[in-house]
Amino acid sequence: MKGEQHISSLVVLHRPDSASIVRQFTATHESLQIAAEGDCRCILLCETDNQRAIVDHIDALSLLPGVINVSLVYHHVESTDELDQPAITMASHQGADA
Amino acid sequence: MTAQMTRREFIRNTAVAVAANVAGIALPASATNVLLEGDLTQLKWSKAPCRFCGTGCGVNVAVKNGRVVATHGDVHAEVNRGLNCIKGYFLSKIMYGSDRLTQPMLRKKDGAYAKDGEFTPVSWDEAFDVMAAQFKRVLKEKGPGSVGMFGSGQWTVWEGYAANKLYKAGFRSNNLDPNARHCMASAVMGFMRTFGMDEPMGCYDDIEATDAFVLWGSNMAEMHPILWTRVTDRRLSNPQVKVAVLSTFEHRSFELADIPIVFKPQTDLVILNYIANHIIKSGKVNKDFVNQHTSFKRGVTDIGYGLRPDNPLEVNAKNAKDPTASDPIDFEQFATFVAPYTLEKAVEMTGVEKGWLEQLAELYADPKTKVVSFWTMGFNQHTRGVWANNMVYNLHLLTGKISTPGNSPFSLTGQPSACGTAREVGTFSHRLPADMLVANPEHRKHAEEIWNIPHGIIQPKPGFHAVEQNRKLRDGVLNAYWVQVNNNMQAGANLMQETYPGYRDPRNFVVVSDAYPTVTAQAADLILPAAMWVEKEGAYGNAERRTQFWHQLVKAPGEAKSDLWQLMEFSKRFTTDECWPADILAANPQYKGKTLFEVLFKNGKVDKFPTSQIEAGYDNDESTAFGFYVQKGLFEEYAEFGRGHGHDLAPFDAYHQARGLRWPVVDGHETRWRYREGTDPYVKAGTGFQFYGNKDGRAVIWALPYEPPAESPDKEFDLWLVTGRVLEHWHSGSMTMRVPELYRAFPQAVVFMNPDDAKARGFKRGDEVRVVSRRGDMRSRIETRGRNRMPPGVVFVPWFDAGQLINKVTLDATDPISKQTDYKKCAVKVVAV
Repeated sequence: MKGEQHISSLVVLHRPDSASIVRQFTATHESLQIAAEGDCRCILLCETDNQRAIVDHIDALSLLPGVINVSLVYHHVESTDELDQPAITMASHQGADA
Repeated sequence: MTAQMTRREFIRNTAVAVAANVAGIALPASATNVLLEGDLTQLKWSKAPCRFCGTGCGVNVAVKNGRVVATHGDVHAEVNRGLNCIKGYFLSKIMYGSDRLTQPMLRKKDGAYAKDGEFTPVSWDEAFDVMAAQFKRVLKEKGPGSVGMFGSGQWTVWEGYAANKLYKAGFRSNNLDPNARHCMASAVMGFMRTFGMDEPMGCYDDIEATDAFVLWGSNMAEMHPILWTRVTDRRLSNPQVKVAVLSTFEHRSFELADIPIVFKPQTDLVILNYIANHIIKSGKVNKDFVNQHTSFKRGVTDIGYGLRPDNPLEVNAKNAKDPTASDPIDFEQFATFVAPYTLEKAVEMTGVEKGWLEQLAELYADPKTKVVSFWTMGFNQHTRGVWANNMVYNLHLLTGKISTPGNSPFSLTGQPSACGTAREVGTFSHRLPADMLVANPEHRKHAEEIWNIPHGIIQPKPGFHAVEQNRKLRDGVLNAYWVQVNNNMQAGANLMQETYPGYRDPRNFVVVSDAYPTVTAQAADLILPAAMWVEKEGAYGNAERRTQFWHQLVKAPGEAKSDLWQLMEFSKRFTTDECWPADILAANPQYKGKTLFEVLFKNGKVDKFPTSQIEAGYDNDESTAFGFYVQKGLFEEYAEFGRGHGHDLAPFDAYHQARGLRWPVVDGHETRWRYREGTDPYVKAGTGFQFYGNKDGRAVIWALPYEPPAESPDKEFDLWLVTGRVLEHWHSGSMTMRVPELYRAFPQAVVFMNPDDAKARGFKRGDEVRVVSRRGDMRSRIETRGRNRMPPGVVFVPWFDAGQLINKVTLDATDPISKQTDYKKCAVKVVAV
């Protein structure tokens, strides 16, 4: 798909004292954003223009000190144009295509 | 939701909300106003278990225009609770590799089958004509002992069951074995020797209830990532919980380890006996439990290494002929037996620091600490694998830490239905369904009655097991051979001396059913294209006794057909007169002149349920082809074996509704902890515990020693070789290597080596090298960094890469009791190219 956009969410499990390491990593990657945090886990929202970038992020996060596990929970891909349409019209779209 | 919100914002919110739900993190109310995908798009979502490992994660599968377009973790599945590992995430892509097989291919020359011919597309009719002629020739010339089949823990329950019937009843050959022999056979024999009944007593719920995890030869972080997520969650959320990780090298699971232990290969046996000794010496034996619920046995020693009988290691082994023999002993004798395994001796033999061993032993000994032991191939692929299984049960039995929430010796499985199909259906060469044995006349009689066939049809002698099948092919004894859903040319040990010559021997006709042109398929004479996963209705059974069903969701490509259709359709080409002895037919004339299809599948039981009972909205190509609800009939007949005998399965339709049920399922209720009063309906009131697999209701504590491996490094072959898997690839990579994202993450196998070992040999990272053993050699590249950190003297090579066949190097030594190969220990040298 040309001009595609991948929106995914990751659950990262880390040692409690490694939260700052995950935050720092996320801050240096524009495509990642911390959506929610717990004591030893956080949820990252990941927006990329290709699927491989998601895998690369998972690999890089897994190698951070204190990060024990990274799981991809949700993934959605469609064209950038369609994504910027109002959500109210979505019933007519044939969007998700992993 | 408002009209101003864009799809992007909406999907972002959905992504975050689903993850938060899975991770148990609360979100502000404003962020939870979302719909799920089923509402968002026009996809049809259905449930299915994942196609890969034995964890048995539930996935939701989306179909659009007859094609699987998306999968994600099923939030309603208890096993994975919405999570998915990287293999599971890309699951939908495994069916759409560009080299998918879509037509039968026969080796032909001048228009006819020829062993040295070229693969040529043929019709199913021609394929089965040639195949049937070959099987009939062999049956006539040499009898049923010369036909065989190698199946799989990836078969669906009914595929394994149909194969079992076709071979053991139809062809009267017990030469049927699954590739689970390579991964689970030691676990099976361990269970049978200790409990008299296969499969774990506990379940995954133990993870959230325990105080300590001990990983014995299991890299869960990479091999069972979803269960590892649950272990990680338990450990990080509860700081008092401890994790001990034992291996012969450091891998990713060590990142969570409070007690990290790298031991010298084979000395896990020493550690196990040291812990038993520690429990006894420190007065921590749970005497009430031991007195009431256990018995003691001493097994014979010096049992050989399961090599060919003329190998000096077998000739010189005192008890190679009867490795399972034992004598009853008592607690005092057991205590005396393990007494030499002191802390000092353990330190000396294992190379592990004293403090770590003491801490590990205390996890088991301390009555206040609940312990889950996990293991996989480190124990099972071991020339003393059955012993290792028995010895870890010893620790749980001595302390009574078993069958209660959080106290669980738990054998993890590698394949999606190693338990559900290979083990429970009894597709091993010595077994029948529900733990029954071909050697037991009562068991044969019972099976013949359920199968509605004359007495005397099932042969009493166990057939050739996996490793023996390769040897018998090579020796020209096994001549008509069918392989389904596995890649044994790549997976079997000692490829150059044993596997390959047998497949290409002109005396043998080898058929391989697969979805992809694996190295095994390419070594065959006939390739049959197979439907996979949701291209057929299926059932798998996972490691915690959970049986799970799925519907057919899409059509298989081209002329590909399910293994079930292949087995049943092939059976139409044989009559009882061609396969069964004349005297049995004379005594039972109603079977004369019938096809095997008629006596095995159209027998009034398997064909009992009409196709109208198939759930509306789902295809079922096999049932359409044969005219009855094939899967339901096979399942209900199969379930007769276990109902009322501790293996109870629920009615067929219940599994299409539930996210799996853990057997025994009695009166609609699944069983989470077996053998304990109150949680297992088979345990009598007032007994507390009952290990009812054994007649006396007692589990056996085994006195077994350390014995050395079949081969150890020496001056010339100076390194230990360990083989195994990596996260991104499942087993031989025949599916995962076709997913670009996974291929890219780990494209080629490498030799993981200690940096000092590399330096001493003049290698740097990335250098091309040869790994050489007494049996063969292969080329690879040196890796000194990354996920596996090797101790000096040990190298690790993953086996997924068909371009780098490490099994040219490995040794086909097996556990003499389980016949499972030890892929974790042989001697090699690594030299420059």
